[in-house]
Amino acid sequence: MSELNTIQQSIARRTFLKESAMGLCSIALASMLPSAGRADQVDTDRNNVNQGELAEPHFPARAKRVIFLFMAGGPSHVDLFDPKPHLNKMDGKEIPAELLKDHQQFALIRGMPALKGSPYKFDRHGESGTVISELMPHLATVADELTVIRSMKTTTNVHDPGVNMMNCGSVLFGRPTLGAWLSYGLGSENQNLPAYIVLTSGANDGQPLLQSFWGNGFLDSRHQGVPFLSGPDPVLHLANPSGVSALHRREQLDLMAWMNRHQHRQVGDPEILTRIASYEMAYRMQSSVPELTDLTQESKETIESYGADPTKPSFANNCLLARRLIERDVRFVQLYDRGWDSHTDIQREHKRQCAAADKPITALLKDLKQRNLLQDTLVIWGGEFGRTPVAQISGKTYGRDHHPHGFTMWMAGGGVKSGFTFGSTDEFGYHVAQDTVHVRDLHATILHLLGIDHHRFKHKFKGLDLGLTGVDPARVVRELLA
Amino acid sequence: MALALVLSGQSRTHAELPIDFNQDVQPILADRCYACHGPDEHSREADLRLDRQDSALGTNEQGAAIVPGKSDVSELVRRINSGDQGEIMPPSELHKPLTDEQKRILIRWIDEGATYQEHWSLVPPKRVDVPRPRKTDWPRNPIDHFILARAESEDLSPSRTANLATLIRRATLDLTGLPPTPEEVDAFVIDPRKNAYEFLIARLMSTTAYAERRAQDWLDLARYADTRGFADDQTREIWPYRDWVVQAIEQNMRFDEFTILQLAGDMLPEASDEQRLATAFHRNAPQAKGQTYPTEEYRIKGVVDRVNTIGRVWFGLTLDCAQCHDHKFDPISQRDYYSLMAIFNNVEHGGSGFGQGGPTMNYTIAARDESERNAQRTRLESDLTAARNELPPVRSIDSKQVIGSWSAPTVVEDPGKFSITGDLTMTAKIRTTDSVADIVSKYDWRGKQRSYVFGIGGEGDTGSLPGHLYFWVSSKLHPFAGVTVYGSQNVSDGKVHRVAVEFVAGHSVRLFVDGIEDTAARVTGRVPASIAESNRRLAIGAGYQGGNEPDGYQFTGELSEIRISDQAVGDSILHGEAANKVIELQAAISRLDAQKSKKLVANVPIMRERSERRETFVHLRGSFLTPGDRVTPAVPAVFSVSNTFQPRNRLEFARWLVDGKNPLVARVVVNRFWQGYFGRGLVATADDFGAQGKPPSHPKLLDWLAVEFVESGWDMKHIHRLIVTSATYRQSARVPAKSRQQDPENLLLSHMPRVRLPAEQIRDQALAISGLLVNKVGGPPVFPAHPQDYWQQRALPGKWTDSQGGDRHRKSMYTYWRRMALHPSLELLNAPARENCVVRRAISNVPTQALVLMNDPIFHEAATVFASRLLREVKNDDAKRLERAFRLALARSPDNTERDRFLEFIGNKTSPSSTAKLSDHAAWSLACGVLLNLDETVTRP
Repeated sequence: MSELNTIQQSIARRTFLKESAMGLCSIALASMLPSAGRADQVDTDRNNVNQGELAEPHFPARAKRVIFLFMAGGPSHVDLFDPKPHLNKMDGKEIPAELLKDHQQFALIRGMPALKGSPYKFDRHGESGTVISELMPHLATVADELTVIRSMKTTTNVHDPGVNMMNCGSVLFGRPTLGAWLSYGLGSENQNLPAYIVLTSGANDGQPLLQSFWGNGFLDSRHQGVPFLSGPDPVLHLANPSGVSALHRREQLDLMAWMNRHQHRQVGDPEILTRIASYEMAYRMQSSVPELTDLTQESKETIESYGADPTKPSFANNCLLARRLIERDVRFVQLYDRGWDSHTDIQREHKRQCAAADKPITALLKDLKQRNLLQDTLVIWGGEFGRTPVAQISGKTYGRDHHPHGFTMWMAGGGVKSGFTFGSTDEFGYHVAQDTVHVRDLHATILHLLGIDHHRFKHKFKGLDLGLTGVDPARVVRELLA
Repeated sequence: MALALVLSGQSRTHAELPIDFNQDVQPILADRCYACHGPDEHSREADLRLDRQDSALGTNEQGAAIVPGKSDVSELVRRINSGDQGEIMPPSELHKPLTDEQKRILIRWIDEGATYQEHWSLVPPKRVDVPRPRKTDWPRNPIDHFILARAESEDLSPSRTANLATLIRRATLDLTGLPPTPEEVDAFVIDPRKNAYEFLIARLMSTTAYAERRAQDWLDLARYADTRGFADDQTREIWPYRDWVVQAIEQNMRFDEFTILQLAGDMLPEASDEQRLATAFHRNAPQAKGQTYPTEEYRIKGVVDRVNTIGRVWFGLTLDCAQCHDHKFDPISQRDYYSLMAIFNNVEHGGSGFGQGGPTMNYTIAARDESERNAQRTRLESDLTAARNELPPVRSIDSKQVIGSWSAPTVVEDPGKFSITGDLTMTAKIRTTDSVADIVSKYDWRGKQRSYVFGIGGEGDTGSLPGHLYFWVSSKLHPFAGVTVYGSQNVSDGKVHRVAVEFVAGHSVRLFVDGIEDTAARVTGRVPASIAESNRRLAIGAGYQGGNEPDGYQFTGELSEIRISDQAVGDSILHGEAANKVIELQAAISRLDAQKSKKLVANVPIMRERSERRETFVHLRGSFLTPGDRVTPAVPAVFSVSNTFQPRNRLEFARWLVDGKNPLVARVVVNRFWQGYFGRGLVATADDFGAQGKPPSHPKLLDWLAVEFVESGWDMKHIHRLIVTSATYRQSARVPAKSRQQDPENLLLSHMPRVRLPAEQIRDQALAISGLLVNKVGGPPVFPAHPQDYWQQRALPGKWTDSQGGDRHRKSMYTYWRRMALHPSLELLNAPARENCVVRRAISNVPTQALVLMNDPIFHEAATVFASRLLREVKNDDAKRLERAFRLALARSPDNTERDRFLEFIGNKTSPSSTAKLSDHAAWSLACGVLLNLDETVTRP
C-alpha cells in the first residue's frame, strides 16, 4: 500500500476514534487530494498530496501567498493614480486623431469623443511622495507600502476576455487562472482549506462573474477556486439538511466509512480510501468554514478599522475575511468587487466604489503588516483594464469607456518595492509612454515573486507545454522587485 | 524487459530489441528538439529539421546532424554530449536537458542506421492478423486475443469473470446510464441460456436510454450547451440538436453519415429539416451577441472554434497553436490552419440580415412525442379490443319493463303514445358510420315541440361531436331549459354497438355503450323533474327538423332491438365489475388523447452557406487585423491530397473526412469509445494523437478496431458491442497482487478498472433508485432544484426558476446547460460547462463533492423518497427492507456483516429504548443517505 493510503487510513482511524473534531485537522483538503481520474492519472504522483507540482521553487520565494483585489469592470486610472494636467487643460476638446491610430475602436463610444480631465485633486503622500487622488484618502496613509505601476497594458477592451487575460494570460475561455496555477505549482500550506478561495462583493448591476473567472482550465479540478457565497452557507451545501443532526451525520459517516473500507478490502482500489478521507474533510469543513467566516470573533477595533459589518455582506467584510484566510496560509485569495464599470455616471459610481473600498483595503494592508504577514503576502490591486481619458456622455452626467492601452495597477508586500511608482502614460493618459508592463509581464513577475520561473512552469496539455505565460514575450519586471 | 519501461514509451535498452523510431526516438526529439528543429519554419534554427530524414541525415563530409550507423561522427551526438555551454543541445536556456538514458537511445538509434518512420498515427491502419495467445479458453472475440497476447508477453494473466450481478450492473450503467432494477438482475441471474449475457447486451443496446447515454459523450465533443457563452450568456434554442443526436444514435446512424450531416447537412441536395438541424453541431460554438463585442472579431472566434473542434473530434490533434504559428511538433503549418478555416469561413454570419446571431431555422418538434403517443394508443386500442372480446353479451332491458320495442326504423302513428315525462330508459343495437343520425326522437327543436331525443351527433349542433351519442330532454317547467348529454366515444365506427341512455327524473342522466357506462360523457344543464311533452309522433331511426314529418337525421346502417322503458333500469344493462378492465383502458385512451401534443417550434441556429465565397487570409500572429497571404480551402498538407481532389467546401470536406482512407479518423473515434468503458483510451491522450501524445498501449488492437469500424460500414453499435461483449470487459475489478506490482496503472488490463460515474449518472442513479426518475426523452431543457440566488450573487442575467412536477426529476442531460454557470452540483461532480470541445472529463474526488451528495436538496430528497419506497414496498421487516435497499442501490444483497451494521444503525434509532427515538422513515432516510453516498454506489464496478 502506498504511503498516501497509509496516511489516510490512519487519519480515518483517528476520526473514527472521534478525537477532538477541531484542532487535529491534519487532513488534506480539496486542493490537496489526488485526482480520481484514471484518464489523467498518467502524470499524477499520488504520493505528493501536500505538495505542488514543483517539488521546490525554482528560486527562493519572496511571497508565499497572494491577495488579488480585483476591481471588476475597470477602475479609472486618470481619476485615481495617474494625474494628467494636460488632459485637464484640454478638457472638452476632441481627442487627437493620432492617439487612435493602429488600434481598435472604443468598446462603446462611437465617433470622435471629447477629452475629459479629472475633477479630483491629486497629492503626494508619505515619504515616497506617491501620488494618490482624493478619492482614496485612507490609502494615502499607506502610500509608502505601494508599488504603483502606471504603465499597464492589456490586449482587449471587452470585459470577460479582459478578465481572462488578467487571470489566465489569454483572452480565451478554458485556460487555468492564476490561482489555479499557484495551487497546481505550489500546492497548499493549509491542511483544512482550499488553496484558492474567491470572495465576491459589490453592486449587483455590475458585470457578471463567470465560473471561468476562478476556473482550473485544463488543470485538475482540485485546483479550481472555491467561491465563498455571501449567504448563510459560505460553501455550497455546507449545512446538513433539516432533520439530519450533527450526531446523525457522524453516525452516517462512520457507517459509510465502514462500508467503503469493507469494499476496499474486496477490490483493492486505492481510490476508495481517498473517498473516505474526502468525506471526513467535508465533515470537518462543516465546522471549520463557519468558524473561519465568523467575523464576530474579531475585536471591535479591528472590525471598525475595516469598516466591516458582520451582519451584512460587503467588500469590507471580504477584506477582513481575506486576512483570516491568509493567516491560515491559504495560497491565493481573490476578491472581486463589482461596480467599477462606470459608463454613465463615473463621478457618482467611482465615489461610491472608493468609499466602500478605500478604508478596508487600507486596513487590510495595515493589519497584514502589523501581523508580520505583509512581508510574504503579495497584495495586487487593479481591474481588467482602465478607463478612457475621453468622456462617454450620458445626458447630464458622463462616464468613461474601457481602456486597455495604458492604465494603473498597484502591488504591495511580498517582495515588491515600497513607496515606488513605475512607468508612465502619455500626457493624455492614453497610451503607455514609458516602461510598458503588459499583463504577461505582470504574470511573469508575480510568478517570480513566488519563486517560479515562468519559462519553466508548464503543464502538458493536448500536446502542448502550456503555462500562464506562453508564446508571446513576457519578462520579469525586475525594476519592481525589492 | 521491465514492463514499466516499455509502457513509458521512452526506453528500449534491452539489447535484443532494435530501437523503434516512433516508440523510442520521436518522443525525445519532439519534446526536446522540434521546437527549433521541427515543422515550424519561422522558429527553425540552422535550417535543420530533425523531424525529416532528408534534412537530418547525411554524410560525415556534409557535417550532417545524423550520419546513419555512425554516432561517433554525427554532429547531433557531439552536441548533445558537449561540455561547452555555447554548444550543448538542447540549449541550456530551454531548461530541457536530455537524460543520459535519452542520449543512449539516440546514439543507439543512429548506430542501428537511424531509420525514420512516419509518425504512427499518420500511417493508415491495416487489418492485422489476430494474435494467438497461449491460453485459448479465455478470449471471446478478437479484442481479447490482442489483450491477452500482450499480457502474456509480460507474464500477466487475465482476471476471472466478474459475478453475474456485477456484470449486469456494470453493463447497465455503462450502456444506459441507469442501474438495473432488482427484477432485471434476477431475470439475468437465472437466465439459463448459454448466451444470456449477449441477450442482455442486445436488450440494453436497443433502448433509448442507450442512445441518451452515448449522446451525452458526443455532446461533450459537440460542446452542446443551452446558452451562447460570453458574459451575456443568453439562452438559445439549440436543444432540438441534442435530441437529433439521441435519435441518430438510436437509429444507429452510420458514423460517416453522422459526420456528414453535422458538418454539412445543409448543403445536401434538397436537405430535409433534420439534415439542416444536424448542422447546429458547429453552431454550438460560443457566440457573443452584445453591442460591446466587435462583430468581426467574434465571428472569427466562432470559426476558429470550429476548426479547433474538427481537429480534436476527427483528427485527435491540437490544431489551436497553428492559429498563430506553424505547429512546433506536428506537421500542421499555419497555412494549413487557415486553408482549413477557409472551408468553414463561408457561413452567412455577421453578414447582412444575420447580425451576430447567425443563420437559424424554425424547427417544428412533434416527432418523438407524437410517434410515442401513437404507438401507445395503438397498444391501448388492441388491449381494449381484447378486453371487450372477453366480456359476456350485453344485456338489454328486461321484457317485463319494456313499454315499446321495435326491430327497425319506423314511426309510431299516435302522437299521444310514449309521452313519457318521468324516468326513461332506451336501448338499441346499432351499426353505422353516420356522423349525425337520430335513434329515437319525440323532439322538434325548430317546431318548438321539444320532449326527448336520443341519437348520434346532436342533429349537427355545434356543441356535439359527430359520431358520438347524445341525448336531449326539455323541462316541462321551462321548455327552453333541460339537460343535454354528449358521449365521449365514437360509436359510428361501422362496428356493432349496444347503446343506451337512462334518465332519472330530477336526478341523473347516463349514457351506456356496450354495457359500460360512459363516465366521461359531458352533461350540461340541470336534470328536469319532469320532461316536456310534444305533439310529434315517436320516430325510430329519424328525427324532426321543423315540421310534422320525421324526415331528418335518417339513420342508415343497421338499427335494431330498440326498446323503451318508463323506468330507470340502467343498472340492469350494465356489465358490472367484468367491465372494469375495459373502463380502465378507455380512461387511459381518453387521458392520452387529452394531452394533445403541443407543437413546439424552436428557432435553432444552424449552418447556411453564403452564395459568394468569403475570402480567407492567413492571420499573422493569429490576429485577423493583420492579414497575410490569401488561402483557398484545403486539408492539411500532411494528408497528401492532390489539388484535383482538394475539398472546396464543407460538404466535400465532410465526405473526404469519412471516406475511410484518413489514417486518424477511425482510430480517434474507436479510441474514444474504448475510453468510455475503461476510463482510458488505448491512446491515453485521446485528445492528442500527435508527436507529443502517448503512443498506444495496444497499437495493433487500435488498428484492428479502426479497420473493423470502417469495414463494418462505420457501425458504431458494432464497435460498442464488441467491446462490452469481450472477455476483457467482463473481468473482475479486483486488483490482482501481481498486476499491482507489475502494472500499477493497469495499462495491460489484467483486471477491469473501476470508474467513477459521470456527474449526470450519479444524480440519475439516485433518482432511479428512489423511484423519482421521470424517463421522458428530449424536449426543452429543465430546471431541477438549484441553490437560491446563485446567479444573482454573480450578477448573471436571468433567473433560475425550479421546474415543477416531473421536470424536476428528469435525466441530468436535460438540465439547462449554462456555459457561464453550470448547475453547481453537476459542475462539482466534474461535468464540463462545455465552453469548448471536451474529449476527456477530469474526475476528481474532493470534499465539496461529498457535501453535494450528502446535503444537496436533490440528493437529500432522493434519500428520503428512497426510504418511503422501502417502507411502502416492504412492511414491518427491517431485514427485508435492507435486502430490497441493497438490491435497488447496488444490485446485490448485503453480506452478513453489512446486514448487522445497517440493522444496528436503524435499530439504534427506532427502538423504543433509544434516547432520541426516530420514526422508521427518519431512520431509513439516514440509512438510504449512506447507501447513496457509498463509493460502490457512485462507481461503475
